[in-house]
Amino acid sequence: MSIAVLIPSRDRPDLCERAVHSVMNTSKYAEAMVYVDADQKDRYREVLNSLAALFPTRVHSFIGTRAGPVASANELVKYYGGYNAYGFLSDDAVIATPDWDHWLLEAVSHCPNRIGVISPYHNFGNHVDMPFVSREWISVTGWYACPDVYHYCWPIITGLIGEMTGIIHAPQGRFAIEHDTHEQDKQAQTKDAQPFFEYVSLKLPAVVEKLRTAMYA
Amino acid sequence: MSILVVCPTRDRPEGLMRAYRSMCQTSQTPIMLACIDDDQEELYSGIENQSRLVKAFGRRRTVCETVNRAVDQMPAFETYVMMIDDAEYVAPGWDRWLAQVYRDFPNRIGVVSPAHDGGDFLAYPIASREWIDAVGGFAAYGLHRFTWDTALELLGEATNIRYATRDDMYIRHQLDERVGAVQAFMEDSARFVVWCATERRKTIEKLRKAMHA
Repeated sequence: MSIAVLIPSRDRPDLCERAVHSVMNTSKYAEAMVYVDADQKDRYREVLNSLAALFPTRVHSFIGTRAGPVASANELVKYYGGYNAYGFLSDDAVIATPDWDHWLLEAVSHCPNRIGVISPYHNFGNHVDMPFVSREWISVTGWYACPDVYHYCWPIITGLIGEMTGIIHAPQGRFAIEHDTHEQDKQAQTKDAQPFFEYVSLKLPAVVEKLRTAMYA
Repeated sequence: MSILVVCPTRDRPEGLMRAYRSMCQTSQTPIMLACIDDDQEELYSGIENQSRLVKAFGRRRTVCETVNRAVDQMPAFETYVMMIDDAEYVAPGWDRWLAQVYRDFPNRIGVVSPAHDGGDFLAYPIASREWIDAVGGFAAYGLHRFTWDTALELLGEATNIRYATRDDMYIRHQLDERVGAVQAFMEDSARFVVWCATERRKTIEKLRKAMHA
C-alpha cells in the first residue's frame, strides 16, 4: 500500500524541506513527490540532494515547466502512477499527526469500490483543503485536481464532488495538517472565479454522475 | 398549493405579458407578481393588474434583492417560483405537478429544477415557504442572479432535488444576456467561490435539520 503526497513548490526550498520531513516523520507508506519549476532548479538543488540522500526511496523530485499548482500536481500524478492514494501538501504546511497514512488507507478501503475523497483536518476552517483521493477516484474523473482552474479553487471543487458522492472528514487526532500562512493571492483567486463557476454549473454534474455510477457498479 | 410566480422585469413589458399569458395557459392557480422598477412605471403603465397578475413597484435592485423583497411582501404563499420576462411556460399542468412534488418532500423542503432549453443546469429557482424559513430567504446566499441558481442546485444535490422532465415543467427562453452583464458575472463568480468555501456547508446543515425536524 502506498500514498503519493504531491508537493509543488516555488520560492521556498526551506519550507519545502520542512514539508517533506513532516511526511517522512509521520508515516511509513507515504512518499513525497516534489515538483520544482525548471527556472528554480538551482535554487532547490541543495535541498533536493539532501532529501534524496536521507530518503532515497521515499522522496522523488520532478523538474518541470512552470505551470501552476494544479497542472503541477496533475503532472506528478501522471508521472508517478500506481499509488493507492494521492494528496496535496502545500509547501508552507506540515502533516502533524503520526500514522495518518494507516488511517487514510483504512478510510479509503471503506469507500464504495474504493472511490472517495478524504479531507484532512486543518487549521484554517472547516472547508476542504489539501484533499486526498484514491487512485480509483482519479481513474473516473481523469485528474487529481480539476484542470479547469489554476490554483485556489480546486480543493473546493473536490470538496463539492466529495459531498455529492463520498467524503470522509478526518478527525483532528487522526489526520491533521497545519498550515503556516494563508496568503491571499487576490489576482489568482480572481482568475479562478469564473472558470470555477463555469465548471461547477456546467461540468460538475456529469463528473458526479460518473463517480456515483462507478461507486456502485 | 398556493404559488407565487415572482417576475422581476425591466425594459420588456411585452415579454412580461408573454410570460404571464403562458402562465395562465399552462396552470390554474399561480399568481404572478411583476416587480417593476420605479423609474419604469410609465413604460409598464399599459399593463393593468389582472386576475392573476399583480404589479409591484420599487427602487431598482438586484434580481436577488427583488425576489427576497417580494417574498417578504407576500409571505402567505406556500411556494415561490422565479420567472424572467423573456421566457414562457410550455408544459400544461406544471402547478399540479409541483404541488405533488412538494407533498413528497420531507417537510416540504427540497429543490425543484424545471426543464428548460438553456442546458443541463438549474435555472428558474423555486422554493417552498419551509425552505425560505430554513435558510433565511429565497435568494439568501449573498449572490446575484448569475450564480444563485447554481448555489441552489448544489444545495439541492446535498439535500433533496427533483429534476423535472419536459412533460412535468418546461420553460422556454426567448432572448439572451443583456449588455453589460460580463462585469457583473465576474463579480458574482468571485462571491460564489467564497460562498462555496464558507457558507455552503452551514446552509446544508440547516436544511438537513429542517427536513428531519
